Amino acid sequence: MLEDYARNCQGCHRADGTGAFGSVPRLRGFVGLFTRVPGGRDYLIRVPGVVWAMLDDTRLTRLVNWMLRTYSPEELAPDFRPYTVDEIRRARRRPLAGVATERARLIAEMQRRGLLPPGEDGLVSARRAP
Amino acid sequence: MREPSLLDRLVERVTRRVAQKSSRRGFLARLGATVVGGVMLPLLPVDRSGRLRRAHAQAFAEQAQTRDDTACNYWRYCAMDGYLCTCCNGGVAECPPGSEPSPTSWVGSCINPDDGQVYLIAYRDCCGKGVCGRCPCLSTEGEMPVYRPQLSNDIDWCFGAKSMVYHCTTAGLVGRA
Repeated sequence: MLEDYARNCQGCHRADGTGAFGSVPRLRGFVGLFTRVPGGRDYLIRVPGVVWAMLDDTRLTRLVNWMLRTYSPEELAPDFRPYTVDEIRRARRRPLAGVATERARLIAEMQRRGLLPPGEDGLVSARRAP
Repeated sequence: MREPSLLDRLVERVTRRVAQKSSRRGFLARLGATVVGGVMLPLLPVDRSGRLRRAHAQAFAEQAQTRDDTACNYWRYCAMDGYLCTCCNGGVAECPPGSEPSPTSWVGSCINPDDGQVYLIAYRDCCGKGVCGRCPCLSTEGEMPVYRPQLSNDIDWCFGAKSMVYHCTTAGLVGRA
Protein backbone atom coordinates (compact mmCIF):
# COMPACT_ATOMS: atom_id res chain seq x y z
CA MET A 1 0.00 0.00 0.00
CA LEU A 2 2.65 2.45 0.98
CA GLU A 3 4.52 1.66 -2.20
CA ASP A 4 1.52 2.65 -4.31
CA TYR A 5 1.47 5.93 -2.40
CA ALA A 6 5.23 6.37 -2.77
CA ARG A 7 5.16 5.76 -6.51
CA ASN A 8 2.05 7.71 -7.37
CA CYS A 9 1.46 10.42 -4.79
CA GLN A 10 4.27 11.19 -2.40
CA GLY A 11 6.53 12.98 -4.88
CA CYS A 12 4.16 15.94 -4.62
CA HIS A 13 1.99 15.33 -1.54
CA ARG A 14 5.12 14.21 0.36
CA ALA A 15 5.62 11.18 2.58
CA ASP A 16 4.05 12.95 5.57
CA GLY A 17 1.16 14.34 3.51
CA THR A 18 2.09 17.98 4.05
CA GLY A 19 2.10 18.96 0.35
CA ALA A 20 3.96 21.95 -1.08
CA PHE A 21 3.06 25.54 -0.32
CA GLY A 22 0.93 27.13 -3.02
CA SER A 23 1.23 24.21 -5.46
CA VAL A 24 0.20 20.93 -3.86
CA PRO A 25 -2.53 20.77 -1.23
CA ARG A 26 -1.73 19.04 2.02
CA LEU A 27 -3.54 15.80 2.81
CA ARG A 28 -2.70 15.68 6.50
CA GLY A 29 -5.45 17.03 8.69
CA PHE A 30 -7.30 18.35 5.68
CA VAL A 31 -8.33 16.03 2.85
CA GLY A 32 -11.08 14.31 4.87
CA LEU A 33 -13.03 17.59 5.05
CA PHE A 34 -14.16 17.00 1.48
CA THR A 35 -16.34 14.14 2.70
CA ARG A 36 -18.29 16.61 4.86
CA VAL A 37 -19.62 18.90 2.12
CA PRO A 38 -22.10 18.05 -0.65
CA GLY A 39 -20.24 17.06 -3.82
CA GLY A 40 -16.96 16.60 -1.97
CA ARG A 41 -17.01 12.82 -1.94
CA ASP A 42 -17.46 12.84 -5.71
CA TYR A 43 -14.84 15.56 -6.21
CA LEU A 44 -12.08 13.66 -4.38
CA ILE A 45 -12.12 10.73 -6.79
CA ARG A 46 -12.51 12.81 -9.96
CA VAL A 47 -9.38 14.96 -9.59
CA PRO A 48 -6.62 14.30 -12.15
CA GLY A 49 -4.23 12.63 -9.69
CA VAL A 50 -6.83 9.96 -8.90
CA VAL A 51 -8.52 9.58 -12.28
CA TRP A 52 -5.27 9.19 -14.21
CA ALA A 53 -3.23 7.26 -11.67
CA MET A 54 -1.45 4.32 -13.26
CA LEU A 55 -3.17 1.82 -10.99
CA ASP A 56 -6.07 -0.50 -11.61
CA ASP A 57 -9.44 0.30 -10.00
CA THR A 58 -9.00 -2.12 -7.12
CA ARG A 59 -5.59 -0.88 -6.04
CA LEU A 60 -6.64 2.73 -6.55
CA THR A 61 -9.70 2.22 -4.34
CA ARG A 62 -7.55 0.75 -1.59
CA LEU A 63 -5.06 3.59 -1.93
CA VAL A 64 -7.68 6.36 -1.73
CA ASN A 65 -9.30 4.80 1.35
CA TRP A 66 -5.89 4.25 2.94
CA MET A 67 -4.90 7.84 2.26
CA LEU A 68 -8.03 9.24 3.91
CA ARG A 69 -7.70 7.00 6.97
CA THR A 70 -3.96 7.61 7.30
CA TYR A 71 -3.71 11.35 6.76
CA SER A 72 -7.08 12.71 7.77
CA PRO A 73 -9.08 10.37 10.02
CA GLU A 74 -10.27 13.20 12.30
CA GLU A 75 -11.79 15.25 9.48
CA LEU A 76 -13.78 12.42 7.87
CA ALA A 77 -17.56 12.71 8.00
CA PRO A 78 -18.90 10.62 10.91
CA ASP A 79 -20.96 8.56 8.48
CA PHE A 80 -18.14 8.18 5.94
CA ARG A 81 -18.23 4.87 4.10
CA PRO A 82 -15.07 3.75 2.29
CA TYR A 83 -15.12 4.18 -1.48
CA THR A 84 -16.11 1.06 -3.41
CA VAL A 85 -14.26 -0.23 -6.46
CA ASP A 86 -17.38 0.36 -8.52
CA GLU A 87 -17.57 3.98 -7.41
CA ILE A 88 -13.93 4.56 -8.40
CA ARG A 89 -14.42 2.83 -11.74
CA ARG A 90 -17.36 5.08 -12.60
CA ALA A 91 -15.60 8.22 -11.40
CA ARG A 92 -12.60 7.54 -13.64
CA ARG A 93 -14.90 7.74 -16.66
CA ARG A 94 -15.93 11.25 -15.61
CA PRO A 95 -12.78 13.30 -14.98
CA LEU A 96 -13.49 16.78 -13.60
CA ALA A 97 -13.21 19.40 -16.31
CA GLY A 98 -13.00 22.40 -13.98
CA VAL A 99 -10.99 21.21 -10.99
CA ALA A 100 -10.02 24.67 -9.73
CA THR A 101 -13.57 26.01 -9.96
CA GLU A 102 -15.12 23.04 -8.21
CA ARG A 103 -12.40 23.10 -5.55
CA ALA A 104 -13.00 26.79 -4.84
CA ARG A 105 -16.71 26.11 -4.45
CA LEU A 106 -16.12 23.27 -1.98
CA ILE A 107 -13.54 25.24 0.01
CA ALA A 108 -15.97 28.16 0.29
CA GLU A 109 -18.63 25.76 1.54
CA MET A 110 -16.23 24.35 4.16
CA GLN A 111 -15.50 27.88 5.34
CA ARG A 112 -19.18 28.77 5.40
CA ARG A 113 -19.83 25.76 7.63
CA GLY A 114 -16.97 26.68 9.93
CA LEU A 115 -14.94 23.60 9.03
CA LEU A 116 -12.08 25.76 7.75
CA PRO A 117 -10.97 29.20 8.91
CA PRO A 118 -11.31 32.00 6.34
CA GLY A 119 -8.32 32.19 4.03
CA GLU A 120 -7.31 28.57 4.66
CA ASP A 121 -7.57 26.29 1.62
CA GLY A 122 -5.06 23.49 2.21
CA LEU A 123 -2.56 25.21 -0.09
CA VAL A 124 -1.54 28.21 2.01
CA SER A 125 -1.04 25.86 4.94
CA ALA A 126 0.97 23.30 2.95
CA ARG A 127 4.65 22.83 3.69
CA ARG A 128 6.82 25.82 2.89
CA ALA A 129 10.31 25.35 1.52
CA PRO A 130 12.82 25.19 4.37
CA MET B 1 -5.47 -35.95 -73.75
CA ARG B 2 -5.21 -37.84 -70.54
CA GLU B 3 -8.13 -37.72 -68.11
CA PRO B 4 -7.20 -35.36 -65.16
CA SER B 5 -6.36 -37.23 -62.01
CA LEU B 6 -8.58 -37.19 -58.97
CA LEU B 7 -6.19 -34.85 -57.21
CA ASP B 8 -6.16 -32.46 -60.18
CA ARG B 9 -9.94 -32.35 -60.30
CA LEU B 10 -10.21 -31.83 -56.58
CA VAL B 11 -7.72 -28.99 -56.57
CA GLU B 12 -9.38 -27.36 -59.58
CA ARG B 13 -12.80 -27.53 -57.95
CA VAL B 14 -11.60 -26.04 -54.69
CA THR B 15 -9.63 -23.32 -56.47
CA ARG B 16 -12.58 -22.32 -58.64
CA ARG B 17 -14.90 -22.21 -55.65
CA VAL B 18 -12.49 -20.03 -53.71
CA ALA B 19 -12.03 -17.74 -56.70
CA GLN B 20 -15.79 -17.37 -57.18
CA LYS B 21 -16.72 -16.86 -53.56
CA SER B 22 -13.93 -14.72 -52.19
CA SER B 23 -12.32 -11.46 -53.12
CA ARG B 24 -8.60 -10.81 -52.92
CA ARG B 25 -9.29 -7.71 -50.85
CA GLY B 26 -11.32 -9.73 -48.38
CA PHE B 27 -8.46 -12.15 -48.06
CA LEU B 28 -5.96 -9.33 -47.61
CA ALA B 29 -8.17 -7.73 -45.00
CA ARG B 30 -8.41 -10.95 -43.03
CA LEU B 31 -4.71 -11.60 -43.37
CA GLY B 32 -3.99 -8.04 -42.25
CA ALA B 33 -6.29 -8.40 -39.27
CA THR B 34 -4.56 -11.62 -38.29
CA VAL B 35 -1.07 -10.17 -38.61
CA VAL B 36 -1.84 -6.87 -36.88
CA GLY B 37 -4.04 -8.59 -34.29
CA GLY B 38 -1.23 -10.98 -33.51
CA VAL B 39 1.12 -8.08 -32.97
CA MET B 40 -1.36 -5.98 -30.98
CA LEU B 41 -2.66 -8.75 -28.75
CA PRO B 42 0.28 -8.58 -26.34
CA LEU B 43 -0.33 -4.83 -26.01
CA LEU B 44 -3.86 -5.25 -24.70
CA PRO B 45 -4.22 -4.16 -21.10
CA VAL B 46 -3.10 -7.25 -19.19
CA ASP B 47 -0.77 -5.51 -16.76
CA ARG B 48 2.40 -5.92 -18.70
CA SER B 49 3.58 -2.51 -17.57
CA GLY B 50 5.25 -3.89 -14.50
CA ARG B 51 7.20 -6.43 -16.48
CA LEU B 52 8.09 -3.93 -19.19
CA ARG B 53 9.26 -1.41 -16.66
CA ARG B 54 11.34 -4.05 -14.97
CA ALA B 55 12.87 -5.00 -18.34
CA HIS B 56 13.87 -1.40 -19.06
CA ALA B 57 15.26 -0.88 -15.59
CA GLN B 58 17.24 -4.06 -16.12
CA ALA B 59 18.79 -2.66 -19.29
CA PHE B 60 20.05 0.40 -17.42
CA ALA B 61 21.22 -1.68 -14.47
CA GLU B 62 23.31 -3.90 -16.71
CA GLN B 63 25.65 -1.04 -17.54
CA ALA B 64 25.26 0.77 -14.20
CA GLN B 65 27.81 1.02 -11.39
CA THR B 66 27.59 1.83 -7.67
CA ARG B 67 30.87 3.65 -6.99
CA ASP B 68 31.01 6.90 -8.96
CA ASP B 69 27.99 9.15 -8.31
CA THR B 70 29.35 11.82 -10.66
CA ALA B 71 28.82 9.58 -13.71
CA CYS B 72 25.54 9.27 -15.60
CA ASN B 73 25.56 5.49 -15.25
CA TYR B 74 25.52 5.61 -11.45
CA TRP B 75 22.71 3.20 -10.56
CA ARG B 76 20.39 5.78 -8.98
CA TYR B 77 20.36 7.90 -12.13
CA CYS B 78 18.24 5.50 -14.24
CA ALA B 79 15.63 8.26 -14.66
CA MET B 80 17.85 11.33 -14.22
CA ASP B 81 17.24 14.27 -16.54
CA GLY B 82 19.37 17.25 -15.64
CA TYR B 83 22.69 18.28 -14.10
CA LEU B 84 24.10 16.07 -11.37
CA CYS B 85 24.31 17.91 -8.05
CA THR B 86 27.33 15.73 -7.24
CA CYS B 87 29.19 17.71 -9.93
CA CYS B 88 27.93 21.05 -8.59
CA ASN B 89 29.32 20.99 -5.01
CA GLY B 90 26.31 19.06 -3.74
CA GLY B 91 25.70 15.43 -2.91
CA VAL B 92 23.68 12.61 -4.40
CA ALA B 93 20.86 13.66 -2.05
CA GLU B 94 22.08 17.13 -0.95
CA CYS B 95 21.64 20.44 -2.65
CA PRO B 96 24.73 22.60 -3.22
CA PRO B 97 25.15 25.62 -0.92
CA GLY B 98 23.04 28.54 -2.10
CA SER B 99 20.31 26.38 -3.60
CA GLU B 100 17.27 24.90 -1.86
CA PRO B 101 15.67 21.49 -2.34
CA SER B 102 12.26 21.60 -3.95
CA PRO B 103 9.59 20.20 -1.64
CA THR B 104 8.26 18.19 -4.58
CA SER B 105 9.98 15.43 -6.48
CA TRP B 106 9.08 12.70 -8.87
CA VAL B 107 9.48 9.14 -7.79
CA GLY B 108 10.94 6.48 -10.04
CA SER B 109 12.59 3.14 -9.43
CA CYS B 110 16.04 1.79 -10.25
CA ILE B 111 17.75 -1.57 -9.79
CA ASN B 112 20.90 -1.65 -7.69
CA PRO B 113 23.24 -3.94 -9.66
CA ASP B 114 25.04 -5.01 -6.45
CA ASP B 115 22.02 -6.73 -4.91
CA GLY B 116 19.61 -6.84 -7.88
CA GLN B 117 16.87 -5.18 -5.80
CA VAL B 118 14.52 -2.44 -6.99
CA TYR B 119 14.66 0.82 -5.03
CA LEU B 120 12.41 3.87 -5.16
CA ILE B 121 14.32 7.02 -6.01
CA ALA B 122 13.11 10.59 -5.50
CA TYR B 123 14.44 12.95 -8.17
CA ARG B 124 14.46 16.29 -6.45
CA ASP B 125 15.57 19.51 -8.08
CA CYS B 126 17.68 22.08 -6.29
CA CYS B 127 16.31 25.53 -6.95
CA GLY B 128 16.97 29.22 -6.47
CA LYS B 129 20.41 29.42 -8.05
CA GLY B 130 21.45 29.76 -11.70
CA VAL B 131 21.72 26.57 -13.72
CA CYS B 132 24.82 24.52 -12.83
CA GLY B 133 25.53 23.13 -16.29
CA ARG B 134 27.97 20.38 -15.26
CA CYS B 135 27.44 16.63 -15.81
CA PRO B 136 24.26 16.70 -17.88
CA CYS B 137 22.57 13.28 -17.86
CA LEU B 138 19.51 12.07 -19.69
CA SER B 139 18.05 8.73 -18.69
CA THR B 140 14.48 7.78 -19.35
CA GLU B 141 13.58 4.79 -17.15
CA GLY B 142 9.86 5.01 -16.36
CA GLU B 143 9.63 8.48 -17.80
CA MET B 144 6.32 9.76 -19.14
CA PRO B 145 5.60 12.69 -21.51
CA VAL B 146 5.05 16.13 -19.98
CA TYR B 147 1.28 15.76 -20.16
CA ARG B 148 1.74 13.21 -17.36
CA PRO B 149 3.86 15.65 -15.38
CA GLN B 150 4.00 13.64 -12.16
CA LEU B 151 6.19 11.12 -14.00
CA SER B 152 7.98 13.45 -16.37
CA ASN B 153 11.57 14.49 -15.80
CA ASP B 154 11.62 17.06 -18.60
CA ILE B 155 9.97 19.74 -16.54
CA ASP B 156 11.27 22.04 -13.85
CA TRP B 157 10.46 20.31 -10.56
CA CYS B 158 10.78 23.41 -8.37
CA PHE B 159 7.05 23.48 -7.49
CA GLY B 160 6.63 24.77 -3.98
CA ALA B 161 10.18 26.12 -3.71
CA LYS B 162 10.78 29.82 -3.15
CA SER B 163 12.22 30.16 -6.63
CA MET B 164 11.50 28.27 -9.84
CA VAL B 165 15.11 28.76 -11.04
CA TYR B 166 16.63 25.30 -11.64
CA HIS B 167 20.18 24.51 -10.52
CA CYS B 168 20.72 20.71 -10.48
CA THR B 169 19.01 17.42 -9.59
CA THR B 170 19.53 15.01 -6.70
CA ALA B 171 18.54 11.33 -6.49
CA GLY B 172 17.54 10.50 -2.93
CA LEU B 173 16.76 6.98 -1.80
CA VAL B 174 13.13 6.54 -0.73
CA GLY B 175 13.32 2.84 0.11
CA ARG B 176 13.05 -0.68 -1.25
CA ALA B 177 10.26 -1.18 -3.77
